[in-house]
Amino acid sequence: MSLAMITLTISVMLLGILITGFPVALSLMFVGIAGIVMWASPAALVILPSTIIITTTKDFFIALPMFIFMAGVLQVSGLGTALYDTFWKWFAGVRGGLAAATVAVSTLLAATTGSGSTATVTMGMIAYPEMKKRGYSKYLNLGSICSGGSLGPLIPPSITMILVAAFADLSIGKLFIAGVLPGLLTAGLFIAYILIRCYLRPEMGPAIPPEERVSWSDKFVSLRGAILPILLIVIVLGFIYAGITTPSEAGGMGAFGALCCAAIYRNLTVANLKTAMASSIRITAMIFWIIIGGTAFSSLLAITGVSNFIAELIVGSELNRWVIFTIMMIIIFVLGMFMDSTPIVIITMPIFMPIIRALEFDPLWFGLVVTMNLLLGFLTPPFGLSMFYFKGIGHKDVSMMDLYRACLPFVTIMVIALFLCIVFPGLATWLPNQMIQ
Amino acid sequence: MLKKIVSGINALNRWTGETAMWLFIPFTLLVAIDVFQRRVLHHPWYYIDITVQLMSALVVLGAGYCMLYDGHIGMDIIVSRFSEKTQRIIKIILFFFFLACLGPLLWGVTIDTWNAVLTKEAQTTSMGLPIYPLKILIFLGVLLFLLQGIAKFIEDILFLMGKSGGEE
Repeated sequence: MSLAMITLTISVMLLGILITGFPVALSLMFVGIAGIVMWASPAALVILPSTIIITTTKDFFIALPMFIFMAGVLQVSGLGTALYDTFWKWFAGVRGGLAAATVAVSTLLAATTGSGSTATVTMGMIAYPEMKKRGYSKYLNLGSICSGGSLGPLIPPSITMILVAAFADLSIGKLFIAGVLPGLLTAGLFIAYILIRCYLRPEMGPAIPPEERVSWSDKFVSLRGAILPILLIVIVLGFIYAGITTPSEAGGMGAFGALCCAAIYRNLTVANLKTAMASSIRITAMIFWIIIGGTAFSSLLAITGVSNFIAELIVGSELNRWVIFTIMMIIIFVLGMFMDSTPIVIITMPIFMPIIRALEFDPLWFGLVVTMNLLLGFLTPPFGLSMFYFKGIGHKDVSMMDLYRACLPFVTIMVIALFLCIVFPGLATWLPNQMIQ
Repeated sequence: MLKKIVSGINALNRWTGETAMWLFIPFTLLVAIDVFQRRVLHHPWYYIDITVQLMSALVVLGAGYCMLYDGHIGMDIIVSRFSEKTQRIIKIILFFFFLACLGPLLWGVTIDTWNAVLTKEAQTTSMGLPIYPLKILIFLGVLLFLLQGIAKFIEDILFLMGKSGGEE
């Protein structure tokens, strides 16, 4: 069988089994096993046990369970509620202020946790009813919550970035820092959009009446609520930036810090701890098994020579490198509409990255742009993870359609931010290059 | 009878997951202490060999637990539009794909674990921590994963036969 045929067969097999809803981890493993039996020899299956032991004992990956656990603890810690209280006091008097506060709190939460679920769930529980009560437009309300949550993977620490770094052979720390400016840029654009929109159409997000606003002294007292999150951000990101800790160590510090935060807010009960641990072990197992399946799959690609074949085909095609880049971006975007980001990273990065290096693009910049592209998938139908998190809270008056409509303007803004980062690579690469080595 | 098997497996995996999840506490503490020793006391001690084993244990013991709660994500946008009955039939067919993965995996892991136990295998790092106990856990984890798949399979069959599936 020619390599072209093998490539085609593998793609068709993988797609065919994925659309049945079979777990991604096992789909990858199945195609890996079947392919190895067909094109190599059953004896080559001895690599299977090593896929488990190698992936799950790689020190590089310690950051994953640590940041997952940190997010789980922060979700029950009450930190989000305290932060929202602070921002409410500062922003409620402005038109659209509560929606802007939601994005601001989500940004800070994103900088303390690795996933988008913490912000979406916390804000969905406290900010949604509040904005509803204050007469905010439903779409602005929902849009600010879901888009704020989608910042989670872009603003470090980020589970998605750890995976991108792992499978694209980048430094986790550098990719983290590369996300800071684009993340703040996107959050800033979200807030600007909300404030301008509400300034022009006050009925979308009315300012609360003057008699309910709090005094300046209360505003400053409320800043206490921001101390702990900022301390956490310094410990996690500041330490990575300063080269004091590796991302894995920072994850451990962060998870430990999250436990302390929960204790300070008096939410460190056995029940809360169990909730956090139970969801963390499930997410950890889920992600790692996709990595294990992905390892089996990529050993098939390596054994058969398919990855080299694709790379040579594309690099040798003499297409303009920006055309190739655009095609890759479209592939990731379309996959993101249907799939979670984890398998997309694991399937595409080992194939794309050698090509990107051969075409002399900056790998770090590419990793960041890919991460931003994956975020779009969080907000686009039909598989918009942010919306699923929100639906999971159980507000009965919100339909999936409402959520898609609400997110549309924010998706547009995110595309603009993505373009800015593509056109001005410095947004991504300047800060990490200033890092203490 | 079949229902008892299902609820037995479910209970076993729930117990395993909810016991294993406590490993997050020593895991977090060890990573944090490691940073303190390395950066503050400048006296590194290789906790990392232990932490990676804890991580591995979390992953393998969490596999079945994750499956119990349908936590292994798949692309179910198309399938979720079908009727419940059709979905269950698809899952029953997919069970054989599941076996095609977990069968070879369990086989490979069994041999690997057996060899590790016989040779009292240790990590190749400076500390040389024994790794065969972890390999036994990996074997158990894969076995529990397989069992949970079988439990789901029986549930789907029972559903189609008109009986209510196992508990939950």
